Amino acid sequence: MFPFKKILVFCLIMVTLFSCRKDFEQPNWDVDLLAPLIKTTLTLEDLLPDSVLQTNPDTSIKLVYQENIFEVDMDSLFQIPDTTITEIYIFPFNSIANPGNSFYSSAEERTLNVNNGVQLNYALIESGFIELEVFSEIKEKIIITYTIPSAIKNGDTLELKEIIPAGTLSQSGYFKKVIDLSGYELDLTGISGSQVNTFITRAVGTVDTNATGPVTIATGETITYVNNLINIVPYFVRGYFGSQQLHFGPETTNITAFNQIISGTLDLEQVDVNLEFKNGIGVDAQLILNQFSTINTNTANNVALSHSSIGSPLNLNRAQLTYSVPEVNYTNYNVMINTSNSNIDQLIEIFPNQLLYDINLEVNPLGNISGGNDFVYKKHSLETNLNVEFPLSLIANNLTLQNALDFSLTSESETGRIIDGTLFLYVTNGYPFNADLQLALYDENNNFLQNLAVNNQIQSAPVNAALKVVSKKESLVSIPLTGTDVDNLYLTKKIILSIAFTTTAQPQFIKIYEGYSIDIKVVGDFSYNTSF
Amino acid sequence: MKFIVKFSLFIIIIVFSQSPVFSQNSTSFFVDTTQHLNLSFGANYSYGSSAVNSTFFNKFIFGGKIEREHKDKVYENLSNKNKLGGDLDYSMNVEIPYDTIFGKTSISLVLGLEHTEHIDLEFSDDLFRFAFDGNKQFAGENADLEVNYNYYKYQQLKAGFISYKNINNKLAKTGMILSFIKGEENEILKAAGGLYTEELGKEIDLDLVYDYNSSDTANKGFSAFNGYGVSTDLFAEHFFKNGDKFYFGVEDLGFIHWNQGSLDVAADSSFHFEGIEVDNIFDLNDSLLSDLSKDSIINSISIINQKRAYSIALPTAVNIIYTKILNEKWKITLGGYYKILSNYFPLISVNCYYYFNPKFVGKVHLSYGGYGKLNTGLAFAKSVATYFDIFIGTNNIETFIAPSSSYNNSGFLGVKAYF
Repeated sequence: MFPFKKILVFCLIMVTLFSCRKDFEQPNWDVDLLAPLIKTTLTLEDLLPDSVLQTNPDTSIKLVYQENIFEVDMDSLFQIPDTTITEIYIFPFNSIANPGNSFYSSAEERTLNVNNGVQLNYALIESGFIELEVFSEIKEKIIITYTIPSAIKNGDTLELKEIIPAGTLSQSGYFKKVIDLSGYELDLTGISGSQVNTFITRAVGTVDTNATGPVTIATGETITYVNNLINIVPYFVRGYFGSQQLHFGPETTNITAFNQIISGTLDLEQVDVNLEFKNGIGVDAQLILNQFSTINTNTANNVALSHSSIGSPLNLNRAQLTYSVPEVNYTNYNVMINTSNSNIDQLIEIFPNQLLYDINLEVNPLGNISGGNDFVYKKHSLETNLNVEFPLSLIANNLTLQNALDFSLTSESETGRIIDGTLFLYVTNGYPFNADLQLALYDENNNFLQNLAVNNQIQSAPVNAALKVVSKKESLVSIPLTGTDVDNLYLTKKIILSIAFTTTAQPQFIKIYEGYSIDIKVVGDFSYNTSF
Repeated sequence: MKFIVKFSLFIIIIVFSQSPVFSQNSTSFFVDTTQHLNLSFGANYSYGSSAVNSTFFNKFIFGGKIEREHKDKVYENLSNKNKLGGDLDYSMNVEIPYDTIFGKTSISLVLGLEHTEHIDLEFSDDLFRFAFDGNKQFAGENADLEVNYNYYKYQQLKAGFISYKNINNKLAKTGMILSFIKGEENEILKAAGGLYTEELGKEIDLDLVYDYNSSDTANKGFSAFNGYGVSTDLFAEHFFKNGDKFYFGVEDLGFIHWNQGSLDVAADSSFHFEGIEVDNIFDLNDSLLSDLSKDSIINSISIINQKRAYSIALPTAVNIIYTKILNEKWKITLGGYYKILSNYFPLISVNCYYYFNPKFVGKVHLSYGGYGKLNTGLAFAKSVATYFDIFIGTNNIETFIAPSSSYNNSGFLGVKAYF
């Protein structure tokens, strides 16, 4: 036993000695890092979408902005609401009908409930349905042949032939079917051919050929037809659209072109606006522009257009059918607005985010001069477009553009942490303006943390007598980062970057040319605590 | 008082870090006069550098902030090529005596387990400065980055024989122990290059030639079996007529084959960096930071990046000791020690033993070389109740007294039980 006791004691001592192990903390030390972080070239395309920038023959850049203000389309002129048309046929006397014999025939006119007094004589249906319900009190199965002679698709008349169950003393025989009207042409001139909004239905009743014997139709028994017109959408209509007075506004539409500009002033040398009316509807119209303003809701500024077109009637001629592709020849009416005949530059210089308009439109101001040949396609409308074009020839004072950048330093903190340092921006500016930077830090809840101090500004490139940049200008902008700044940077999830531009050679207008750019290299000079 | 605190800390470090070197230490205090069944545990650690002092080393290993003055002190000692290395071993051995085995007499069977961890590197002055002070100091200059780094972690299952021979009335041992090795972790890096930082930090150029091998990085921990190998320990003692002893030993002569999951990365390329190129600075986001991940940089500059098996030779040690018995109280040893393939500088040592009584001995150690410089040590051994030998000591007592002037640290602890 003795050796075993010794072994036990020995092992206990060893286990006690070797069982504990200290988990040491990580060593850490500070290093000074100097390294390039970001290299980029900034051009106007980075600030504005390519679609709004165009180059003039002299390589100067102009900004082109297009906005659709409003449209008058088929829905604006009329609509065909869902309609239910019920027809009850009451048998006036007793009669007997043998199997296979027709015992009932009727032709009826149905009137579409077209609003706004619009008188249609033809419609090509894009989509929509007729839901047909038939209730029969005849005590035998009957065959109903339902026809709409004025509805034709691919040369075929719309026809339905269905068996209606026999009625009983307590319950009528019932049948229901939904007919798709897509692609049907509707003649809406009725039986006489001179009516409007009217189509014809015809129904013929025949005793089922499989009936066991003659059927007695008693006096007062009925066959009821319920026509439900559902979601009728024409592709094309023709007729007389009436003399309608339409009013649009005052309404606002959003403008996004200047969203990034938050402050400063901008003076534009020239602004050209083409207020373009394109009529794709086969009606004459008279338009009066009662009000046309721009609004900056952030600064509560608004400017109303002062131009001869305001309050004056503008006559728009009807579009013409081509009977080809495209189906319609639009007619255009352009109102040219520029800095010479209006205050249009002021409307832009407030950096609007809304456009306000108020318009009266009279359809067929001269009455039914087309002889019922007004027309409208669903896809062709009367459009009003605003085409703005101005050369980037400007005077800017602290014109401040703002942008939000996603930012996170979280991943870096796993292996070390920035203590403090300086961000150096080596900027080579090819634009004829000075620029001041501001960086505001925000946390994940969008709470403002702080602004970072920025030393020096980006200096303007020098210009020659023609006010054209002759060479690039180098500037050094530094952003010192204290310990507090760094602490906040680690909390930062969004940086709001604001750049305030001021053009050189004021008060002269400076043109921006294609090829101008700013080269930026960001160098970090940090004290960094690293751990191993 | 300070010394006591340091010494206490030393004891704690040894115990808590489960450290090693046992075989030589255990036998050098009390000489075996007969074969015994015995069981021994040992732990030993040592680390040192030709440039990095113990203050810095202790901070690096045990954690805490490495301050400016710590780095400046190291900079005073840096040369073009600097060495650094360390070992950590735990071992357990059982020696079973046989009167006769395989027809031979006085043979003991030795079985043992050992865990070994070894690190060594040779590095340039600039590399150290770059690692611990960053690249800003090299603005406008080229930093010479050169390193040769080896790291091993493996476990050995040992089996061998010790032959006892009576020479001039002394019991001399000759032995051979074979080990099967379970490879746990390995890294080998040979890199040379230059880092140029433009004066204002606008550009960084890295010219790099490197070859890096690593065992399976996805499989780590004590249970990881990433390679296998064999090694052998050979040793022999001889007693002279005057009682002096000569010892010669070769340790860990062998290799490890690391498996197919191992990584082989090599590069010979130039890397020019001017910042992350951003198309639109207004679209800057944190995904850009991922472009600078360690993996992406390695991938961008590597010409070989593959998984393949490889084999390495172990850092084999050669140990020579001459022991002079002066009288019953005093004994002196003179030794030389060298590890091949491990950036090691030959170590020359002198040990002076004083026997307070036959069961209690003290040792004073003086050596130069290895991964450090001058080493001064102190150790004690006690034989308790004839059943246990216990020894404890360090070869670097100076590190506890003046760590900022010391370049090595070591400790050993062992227990041997006789049955």
